[in-house]
Amino acid sequence: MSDLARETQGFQHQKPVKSASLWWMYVPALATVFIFMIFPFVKGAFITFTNWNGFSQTYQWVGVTQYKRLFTDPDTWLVVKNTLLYGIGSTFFQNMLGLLYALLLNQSLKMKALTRTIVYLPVIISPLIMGYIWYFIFSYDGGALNDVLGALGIGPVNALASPAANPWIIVMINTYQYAGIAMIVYLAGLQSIPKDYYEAAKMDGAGGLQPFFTITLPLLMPAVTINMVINIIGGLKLFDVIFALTAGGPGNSSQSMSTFMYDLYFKRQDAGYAAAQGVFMSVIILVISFSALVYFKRKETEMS
Amino acid sequence: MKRLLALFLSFTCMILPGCSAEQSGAGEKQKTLTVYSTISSDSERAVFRKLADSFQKEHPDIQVNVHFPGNDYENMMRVRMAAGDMPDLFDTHGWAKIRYGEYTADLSGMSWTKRLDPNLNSMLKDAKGRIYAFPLNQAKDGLAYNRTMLEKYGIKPPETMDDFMKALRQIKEKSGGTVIPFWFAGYEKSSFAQYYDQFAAPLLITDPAHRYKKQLLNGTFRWTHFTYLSDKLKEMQKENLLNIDAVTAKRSQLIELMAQNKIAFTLQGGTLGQDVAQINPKVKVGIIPTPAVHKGDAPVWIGGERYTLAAFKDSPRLEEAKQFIAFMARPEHAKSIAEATSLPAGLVNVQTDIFYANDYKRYQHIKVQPYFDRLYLPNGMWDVMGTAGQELMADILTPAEISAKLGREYKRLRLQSDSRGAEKE
Repeated sequence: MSDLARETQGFQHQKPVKSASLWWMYVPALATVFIFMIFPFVKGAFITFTNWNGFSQTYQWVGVTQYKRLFTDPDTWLVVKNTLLYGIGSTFFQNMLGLLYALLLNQSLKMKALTRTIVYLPVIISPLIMGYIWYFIFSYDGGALNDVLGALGIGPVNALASPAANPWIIVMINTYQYAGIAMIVYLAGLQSIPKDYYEAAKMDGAGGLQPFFTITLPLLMPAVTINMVINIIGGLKLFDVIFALTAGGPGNSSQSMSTFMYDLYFKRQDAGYAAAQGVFMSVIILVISFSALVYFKRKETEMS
Repeated sequence: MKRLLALFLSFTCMILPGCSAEQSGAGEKQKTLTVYSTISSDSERAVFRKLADSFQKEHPDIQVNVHFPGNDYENMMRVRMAAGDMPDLFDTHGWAKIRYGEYTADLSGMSWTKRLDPNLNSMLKDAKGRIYAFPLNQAKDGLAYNRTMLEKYGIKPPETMDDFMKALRQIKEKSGGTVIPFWFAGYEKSSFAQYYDQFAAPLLITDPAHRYKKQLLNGTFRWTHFTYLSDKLKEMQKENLLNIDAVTAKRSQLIELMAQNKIAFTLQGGTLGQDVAQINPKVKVGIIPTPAVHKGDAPVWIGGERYTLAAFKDSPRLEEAKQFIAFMARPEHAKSIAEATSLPAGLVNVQTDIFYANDYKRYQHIKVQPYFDRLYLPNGMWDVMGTAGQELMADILTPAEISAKLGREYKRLRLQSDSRGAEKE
């Protein structure tokens, strides 16, 4: 009997594995998810009904007061507006930029690999460090921006002091940092499109942007979906860059929901309210990312 | 099956943090004391570590693990308090009663308590005589200033708010705009909180004709009285007496700018003087008490606890923790730690030779007022004041709107921490 046959025979002799014992395999994963995600979330939701200060052993039940505050606090809407800007604004710019880079670098260019690396490089820097780097570029005293402006004969500006401009500056930095990821995903998508399609289209007389809209974009839709959803989630929970660049300031003007929540919990000792903001934030992220997913999935099927 | 279970258990033990690494290890006989402190500069830390080492030599059965988590300290302690798992000894950095109170052991039986500086009574002691922490030093905060520059321009250190404004204007004029008269590190919100907190005492507490202690404590205080401070700050900003980047500058820039003779006044005590002298020995930094706001009133030091040691009430090594405190309270040790931090000691019989000794001597008749928010405001107002300062500077809110906002938050936070309100009254 050959080895293989013997092995096969041995295998047949084994009793079929009972499915119940296989279920134990789930336990580590389930326990991790339960201990680090579900339990804290439920506990957090429970804190929203208290006025806990975040460190004391005592607190009082306050019913839905924290939610009432949430919806009447003008800061909430400011922060929601910023968060949406960080989520949707960065997603838009990241994808536009990423797609353009991908289209450019998918062609046979000199220094293609080097350019791809340069575009991707910011991704590997920690977002916190990225925030500090840009702080030093924008800082009024000795900042790189003011050195350049000075050389051009323009007076120094205090770029990070404007409540209106700060959220946009943060969107810009976030875009700069993560456009590389979008580019890589699009490049992968582009390279999976067979060249024959373009040749056929050319023979059929397609010109200008026509091949892009009829071939490239429809076949790239799965990549668009992935990019959109990843970027939206990343943008909506943006924290590090804001923390390092403006600390949410001036006032609360560049605060996102996550930095606001952090301030409420750790600085203002308002854990109940911070938890309410947290619940609200997860609802917003869930609704937006889920609708984006559904929308783009539908687009995918429509276009293919 | 069993193997799987064992695998799972060992896995969960791996991912669960804090599997009692602190307690285990050193064997049965040796006990380990864990100390957490907010001490921030390297030179101060070195002195503290040296003292901990000599304590270990005296008590070979006790090992002392000292941790300085720096900026993470407060967040770390909040989480540990919530979990009811405090270190054996920790720093209360100004919050001995209000924040950390329910976790501290009563130290009132210890012999050093008889030597506790009465200036610290309101911070560390309560009406029943309970003592919350041992002070390693005490804060005496005012305005730090470039003495060399003021002498050069012939400006006397100001004692009233009007003098202070005049001095700022003169500096701007005489330096031809090259010097920042009053510098703020407003990227950190606490910078503005510090301004409001320091000047609130002369505005609302020290002058008998403008005293609002009662109203502040019973919740009837009208916050329009507070608008003065925002008005003044706005006035300084409009006249270019502050740094243009007052909302974005970081504290780390201070030492260098001061050493380059670019700053006249700032709100910072601590080791600024020595740090500047190390870079540029020609610049002498001095400190003055916070100027008086009302006519006829005197300037005032703002102070209270800075670095402390409190013992965790449920610590299994409470006795050893107290031994460590007793060791640190010996006059020679109290002296060395106070000198390392450039601040007066928290005990009365300890004479220290510190950087600002002359300044403190010159103003020794000046009273020390406790930090305003710690005594008169509900817990959590510090951050509210800091945010308000940034909003004022960035023209998001007017001075009157700031006061209205502070008033709203004051009411809400009072409701949240009513237990504390009762203790203060």
